[in-house]
Amino acid sequence: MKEFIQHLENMLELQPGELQATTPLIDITGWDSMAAVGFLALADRDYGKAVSPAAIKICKTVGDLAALVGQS
Amino acid sequence: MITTTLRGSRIAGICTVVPKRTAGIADLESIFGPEEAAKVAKSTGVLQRRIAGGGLCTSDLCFASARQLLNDLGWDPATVQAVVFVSQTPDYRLPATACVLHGKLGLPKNCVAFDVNLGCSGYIYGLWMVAQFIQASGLQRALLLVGDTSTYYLSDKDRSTYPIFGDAGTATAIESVRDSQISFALGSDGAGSENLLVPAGCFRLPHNEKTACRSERENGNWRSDENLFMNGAEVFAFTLREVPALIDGILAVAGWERVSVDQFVFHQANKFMLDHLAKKMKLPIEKVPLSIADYGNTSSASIPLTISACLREKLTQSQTQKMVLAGFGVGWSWGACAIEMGSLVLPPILEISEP
Repeated sequence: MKEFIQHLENMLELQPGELQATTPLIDITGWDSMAAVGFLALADRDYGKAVSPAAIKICKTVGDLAALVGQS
Repeated sequence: MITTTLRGSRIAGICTVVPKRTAGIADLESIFGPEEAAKVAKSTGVLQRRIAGGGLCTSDLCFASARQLLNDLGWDPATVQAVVFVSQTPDYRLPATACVLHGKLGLPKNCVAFDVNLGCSGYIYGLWMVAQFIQASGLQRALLLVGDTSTYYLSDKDRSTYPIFGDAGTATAIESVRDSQISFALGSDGAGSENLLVPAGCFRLPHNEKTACRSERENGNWRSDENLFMNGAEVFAFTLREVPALIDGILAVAGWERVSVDQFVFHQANKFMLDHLAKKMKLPIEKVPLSIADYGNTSSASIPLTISACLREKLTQSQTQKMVLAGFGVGWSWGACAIEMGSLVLPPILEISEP
């Protein structure tokens, strides 16, 4: 989970430590449709996972995103 | 995937024509504000697009391309036996724009002319069809006219499409030769048809007052049902799913090693996506030419446009280059070909003004 959060912080150009597993996506500046595409790339590149965009849409927290790439 | 190797044809030349009118970052700033404009440009890699406008049609761009190319090749129009127009922005519901262009170009009666409705994958499908005609029906010379003026479909209040698409028209001359072959791999998945779509204006949902009216949609984007809708995340997921397999497939059909390929010319969908794909497939960056910064995503025209913009020096030489061309998107539809190209007639990209 720690490594996943670092990847996500990097992608969203946030400071280390800004995100936790419980952080609601709705509260993250920069979490938008373009970030969702960035997350697909992250899932593919760093975890070799093909994530469906529909699955991203129902995620509520950073932890939900982590679960999509098999991180908990 | 449909795979095949067709014998007896080569590309003799390619010409690309774009509208003179441009739109760049300043245009995006005036609509979306400087911060959002910078963010969009960074994520798509598009710095400038060409905009048809003022009634300039895809067929006008393709006509200018074809006339220039016939002239530079020294081909008498009377010797052209096929004209295939691949586009999603035709002149009319009917007749086929290929027939209109056939007349304007002064092509002979012993010539086939028809349209194909495909976008991102269309150039490959067009090459595949023409190569079949040459092998199966013994045609000697053909023109493949490919392009789109997608900007007519866009809402300037939709960040997911407006900053990305540009307009261009191209002509490719294909001729019968001995000792030449082109391999193809092609596929489709209609489950994706709703992800790149102009919902209204044809027969499923004919134009009415309501379909022409813009309303607020997802993520604060505004558009009408007559505008182009694109689900960018679904497009990206589709590309990750199909394109690496497509490239593996075409290399297998052609019997080529990945490292022996000189250039991989991809449909210019989005720079972020192409960079990611190139890394994923371990393709050296110098073998993946990009034209998207200067022209945006020009739909069906993007492969020949990228050849015109980036590869003139290489492909006009007599030393042939091993090329993999790959298009993928609207449909979903995808295709790739493995083709040796050299000694091409490849004039610089031309600009034309509105009529």
